Amino acid sequence: MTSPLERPAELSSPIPIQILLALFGCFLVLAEGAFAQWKVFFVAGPLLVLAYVFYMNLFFSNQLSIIAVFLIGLFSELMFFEMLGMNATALVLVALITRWRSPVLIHSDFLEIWSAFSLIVLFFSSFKMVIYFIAYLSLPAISDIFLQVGMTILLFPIFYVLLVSAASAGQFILRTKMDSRIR
Amino acid sequence: MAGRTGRMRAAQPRRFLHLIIILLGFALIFVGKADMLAVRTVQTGFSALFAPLFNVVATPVRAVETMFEGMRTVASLREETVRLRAENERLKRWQRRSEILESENRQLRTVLGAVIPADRQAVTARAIAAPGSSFSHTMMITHGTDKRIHRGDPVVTADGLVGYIIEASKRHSWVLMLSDVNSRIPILLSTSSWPGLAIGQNSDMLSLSFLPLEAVPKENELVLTSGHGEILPPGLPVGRVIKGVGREYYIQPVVDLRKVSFVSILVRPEGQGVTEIGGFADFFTPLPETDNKRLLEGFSTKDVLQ
Repeated sequence: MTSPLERPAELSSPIPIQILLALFGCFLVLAEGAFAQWKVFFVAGPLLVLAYVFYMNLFFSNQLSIIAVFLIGLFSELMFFEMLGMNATALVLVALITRWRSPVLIHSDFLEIWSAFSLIVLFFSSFKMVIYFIAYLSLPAISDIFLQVGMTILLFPIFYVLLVSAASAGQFILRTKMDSRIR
Repeated sequence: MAGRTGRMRAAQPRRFLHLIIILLGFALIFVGKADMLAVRTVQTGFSALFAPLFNVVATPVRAVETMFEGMRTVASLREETVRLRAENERLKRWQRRSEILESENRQLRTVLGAVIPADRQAVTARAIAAPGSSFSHTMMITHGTDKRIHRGDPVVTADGLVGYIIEASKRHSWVLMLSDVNSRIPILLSTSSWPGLAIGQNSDMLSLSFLPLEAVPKENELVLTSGHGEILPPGLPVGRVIKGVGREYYIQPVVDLRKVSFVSILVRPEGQGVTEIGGFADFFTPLPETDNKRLLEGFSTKDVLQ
């Protein structure tokens, strides 16, 4: 029986990648907040984190755990003084629904993915609205919410292309790194 | 079959974990709603900790916005110039308009404090034609009989008497100014109560005439309308006494007649005729018995001055 220190290093562990992807999610939280400074996105910034969680759980569900999703949501709430737990829970539910639908969607064309994402955005906003209503017995500005939903759905193709490119680049870098290690 | 059962067994702890996470999320919602001080402190500390990082991320985003803003500005520079020129023109027009209004306001203020006798009503009018020569000191004003302006109505400003109406059409009237050679205003001296007549000379001075022989007007003494003849109400300031050569006295009108733009016409209330004017009695006081040398009855201007 060898001690953990004597065991060979686990070079193919997915944990560093998962941490990096979770950190990228946190970065997107900050970027989402930064984009809200643009006049065009004022109170209706696109939900970048939601698109990211949707994409990752659709194609790389093993790389972004539910805990990471929860923590990303929590980070967003702590960072921007949102209602604690609301965003995190909504993101976790989105991740679970996406994982549940991923076997079907993964083989679908882009339009179907886009439609699914639209439904997810609607669900995400509706869930948050319900929680908000239960908590405060009032509704926020519906027009702003619709604007944000519309903006997120409309900008999803751009974000999708960017994520596909980033994922391909990441996979290429990792493959190159692994190949050099094997050699 | 065995493989499927194995997969289901492996998925069970994961589902349990997911359930725990969702419940944790709802618990957090309740905790957040409780608005506990600890939660707020954590939130504050956390956002303060990551604020510099957020600033770093936001800087390029802001820079992009600035860049787009700059591009938009450059693209719309020509359009902006045209717009600014038009705006400049409009502002210049407004400036001129404001200068006109300011001047008009200043002029209107001159009639605001005019003394209005109790039995008269003031109608404000604009002078639209000033005397064009020294041969006739008359001016045309807006408003006429449509505003109950009639011949004989006194025309005043806040400073005092300007003249009286000599002609009134439906919408315009003509004012005979104090300084006109045809003007005869019954007056009395405010402190000594000597009566007299202010006669226009088509100059900037009026002649003080028909004074009793024993009257000695004081320099700078105020001259008021006496109300004799019941054409003009008594007590309207006319001018100040200026001593001439020997027993010649002149009156300097209190109103600068060259600068009259707005005037008040003291019209009679509706249904009141000329004979019904009773202001004369308010200023009439009999002379003291011991001092009965005057040819005309004296007037007390004490009430007017108060």
